[in-house]
Parts: sequence; C-alpha cells; structure tokens
Amino acid sequence: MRVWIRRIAITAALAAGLWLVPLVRLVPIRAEPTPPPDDWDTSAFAEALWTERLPKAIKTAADADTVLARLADDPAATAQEHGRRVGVSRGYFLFVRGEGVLGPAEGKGRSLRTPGGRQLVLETGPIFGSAVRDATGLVRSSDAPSSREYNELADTLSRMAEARAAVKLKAMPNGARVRFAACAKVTSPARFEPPLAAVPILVEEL
Amino acid sequence: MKSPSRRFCSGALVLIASLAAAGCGSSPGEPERSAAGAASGDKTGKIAVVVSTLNNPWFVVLADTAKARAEQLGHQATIFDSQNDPATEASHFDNLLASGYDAVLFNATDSDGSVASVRKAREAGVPVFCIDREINADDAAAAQILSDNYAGCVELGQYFVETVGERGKYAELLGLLGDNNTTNRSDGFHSVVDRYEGLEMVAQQSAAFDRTKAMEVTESVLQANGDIVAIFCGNDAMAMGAYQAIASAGKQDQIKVFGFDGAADAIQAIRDGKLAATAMQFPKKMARQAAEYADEWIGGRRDFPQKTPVEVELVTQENVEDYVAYGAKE
Repeated sequence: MRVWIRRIAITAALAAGLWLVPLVRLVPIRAEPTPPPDDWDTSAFAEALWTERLPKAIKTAADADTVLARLADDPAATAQEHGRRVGVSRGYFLFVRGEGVLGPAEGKGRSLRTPGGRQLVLETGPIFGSAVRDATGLVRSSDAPSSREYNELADTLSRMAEARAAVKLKAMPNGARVRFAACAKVTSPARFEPPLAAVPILVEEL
Repeated sequence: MKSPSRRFCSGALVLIASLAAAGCGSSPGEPERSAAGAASGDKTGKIAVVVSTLNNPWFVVLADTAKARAEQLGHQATIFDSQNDPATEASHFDNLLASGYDAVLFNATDSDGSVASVRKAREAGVPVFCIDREINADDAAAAQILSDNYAGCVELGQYFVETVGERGKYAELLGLLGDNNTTNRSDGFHSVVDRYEGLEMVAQQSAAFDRTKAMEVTESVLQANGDIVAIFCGNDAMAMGAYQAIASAGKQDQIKVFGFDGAADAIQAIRDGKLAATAMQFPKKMARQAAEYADEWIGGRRDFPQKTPVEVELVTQENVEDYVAYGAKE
C-alpha cells in the first residue's frame, strides 16, 4: 500500500513539475506576417504589386460570366462562392476576368456585354475605394507600417487603374471586343442591382 | 499479462505526457499567462471594460454591449469610465491590474498616450483588446477591432459630390485633433472631394466631437462664409450641432449636413430630411467581437489578427429605413 502511495506522490510531483515547466513547447505552424520594412514606400510597393504580382493573380480571377450570372440570381450566395470579405462586413469584393464587347460611355464608365449576355460597367474614373487592394487578396494590412500607409496604398492603386487601364478603355471604340480583368465591391448584397460597376486593371483589344 | 506496477507506469506516462502537452500551443514572446490559460474554452474570468467616456451615448452603447456580451459568455465584467482623461485611464489600468482582471476591452482616450497602459497590461500578462479607437502600436494590444473610418468616408465623400455637385464652397468640422479617427475620416473624405477643383473648402475647424462646440463653430463659420452649400462633420454629435446653427440662421434649405457614426438622433434627422447622410459604424458589432476575442483568449487562443476592420455603411434618405440607431435592422 505504501509503495502505491509513494508512486502516486512521485507521479503527482512529476506531473506538477511538467505542468509548470513543459518538456516540449509546440509552436503553431502558420505564416507569421513579415513586418513592413522601415523604408516603406507606398508608390514602390504599388508599382511592384501592379507589374509583378497582379498579372499572375489575374490568371486566378473568377470567370466574369459565371460570377455575373450568379450575382444576378443570388448576391448573398455569390459572396460565399466568389467573394472576398475583409474583416467584419456585409459587403464583399469580387475579382473577375473575361471577354466582352464595349458599349458607349455611361456616367463614369463604359458598359460591356459578356459572351453570356451579362452586362458590366467598367469604370473610367475618377476611381475611388479599395477594390484593387482588397479584391485580389494579395495585400494584408500587416504589409503596411500603419493604417495611414495602408489607406494610401488603396488610393495609389485606384489611381494606377485610372492611369493604366481606364485611360485605354476610354479611348477604345464602341463595339470593340476586349479581354479584361476587374475588381469590384458589392457594398450591400441585399440592395444590389445589376449592372455591377468594376474597376478595370487590364483592358486589351482583341 | 502486464504486472500492476507496469500498468501503473504506463498509466503514469500517459498522464505525464498529457500534462506535458498542456504547455503546447503558445508562441515565444507571449505573455506568461499563455501556458496557464490554454486549458479549455469553458474557463471564465474577470473582464474590464475601459471606455473613453460615458458622456456620449455612442460610447455608452459600446461599453454596455461589451459588458453584456462578456457576461453572456460567463465572465464577470466591470465598466471603467476614463472621462476622456488619459490620467484617469492610466489609474484604471493600475487598479485593474492589481485586482487580477484577466482581460481588458479597451476604448482608448488617446492613440499615442494610451499605448503605455496597454504595454503595462501586456507585461503583466493581461491581454488588451482595443475597440473603435486605434492605438499607435502594433505590438502592444492582443488585437484591435476598428471601424474602417477611411473607407467609410471615401464612400461618404462620393455621396457628398453626388448630392452637393462638383462646384461650391463647404466647411469641415474636425473631431479631436491628434485622434486617429479624426485623421482617417478627414483623409478619406478629402481623398475624394479634393479631386474636384470646383469644390472649395473655406473653413476647417475642430469642434472636438462635441455638439455644443459644433454649434458655436458653425455660427462663426456662417458669419464669415454665408454662401457655403455643405458641411462635413467628423461625427453625428457635431452634425446635429451644426444643423442647429444652420436652422437658427434659416439656411437649412441651402446647406447640406453630413455626419458620421449612426447615432439615434442622426438617423431620425436623416429620416426628417435634416441631415443629408451619415456613415454607420457598428459599435455593438465591435464590442461583441472584442468580448468574444477576450473569451477565446481566456480559453487559450492566441493567434488574433492585430487589426480587424469593421465595415462602415453609408446611410442616406434612400436606405435609412434599413437602419436603426447604432446598427442595421436585423
């Protein structure tokens, strides 16, 4: 009996010791965000994103016809299937690519009809908001040193879309067949009404 | 067949291995409590809700919701009112750290000045979850749950141009100078409006998020600039004060007023046609999220995103019926 009491006491002491000083400490395997460099430059970051990472990401964008069809049918389900939410929000972002035929200028954009007969408005400017920064999933808030630079980045990318894609779009003739990629935000899924307005990041005449 | 002593050894080894594993899951550099707090999701604790002021209904909703959600999750919760005074806030932190609180849901009085208190709590192993007001440090709070003020004001700015037009003189009332929310709202608004050369800002003054001050500032703005067509205000309290001054001057049909927050009186004022628009923040959503994070921390979770943005939505006469004070209709 005494032997058992001694064994239990030893085990309890060992257990208490291990609780306080574990022999093994497991660290979760997850990508730790790389801190932004001290010499952060919003324009340089945006330029590298636009010229190096964005062209590769376009290949992974959702098919515009599929997304527009789903969006017209069920904006809430589109968020689950094709959308990207940032933080806590009801609105969501879309990243699409496809082909279509350009229509005339309408307000701040050009209408475009897809092969599936869906309509989209590609914005010609002025372009505002964070669709380019947030729709692709390429940028995290931890990439920038603070919220100020992170916001600046959204503006810079919108200006780049204006200068590099929207300008070309404006100059294209009615009826031109184009290949495009665009970023959009569905602000209120409950109140969404087509056509979707999207920020062009690529427009090429076919 | 195993002997009783071998059976005991096997059992003891299993027990020891389980206990050794209890220390797993935390990262180096985390507060000391991490190992002890990694037991289960059913753990309960004491949660402090430290709020910048209870003199503004918006912050009362924030604090009450945080407390209620913490209690709903089984914790004890207490509200501390900093009365917009960083010294009072620092003394609350000293008291709550001495009183053995397990987590702090924190609405800061000052983006820079409050960092020291948050660091002190971190060093004591008490996580701080910032709500609504950002602190200027990414390595002090366990997480920061913040309205996306900038994006909200980009949207509000676009609506401003749509309703006021691309030409005209306007004024801006800023909140507390030095507060990140003041800067982010103003910057977001100007990132849009400044693109239109015909829109001229003739006055930009602080009214410190205060209704009475906003009324006084607007009166003096109107004396010097009787021809303005709009006022953008960094919160709804200032928008209501500005409207009061405008109505007293009989200019309510000439000047459009824009606010920010989604306070009860602002929502009603939009419905009544007194305010043109506001940007709805979601204090209840932010407060609940912070309480849930604290609950998860107490249960053992440690991998929180440093910043969780909470979307801000534009409220106008077209969609005001979708909203109630401090949130959307569920």
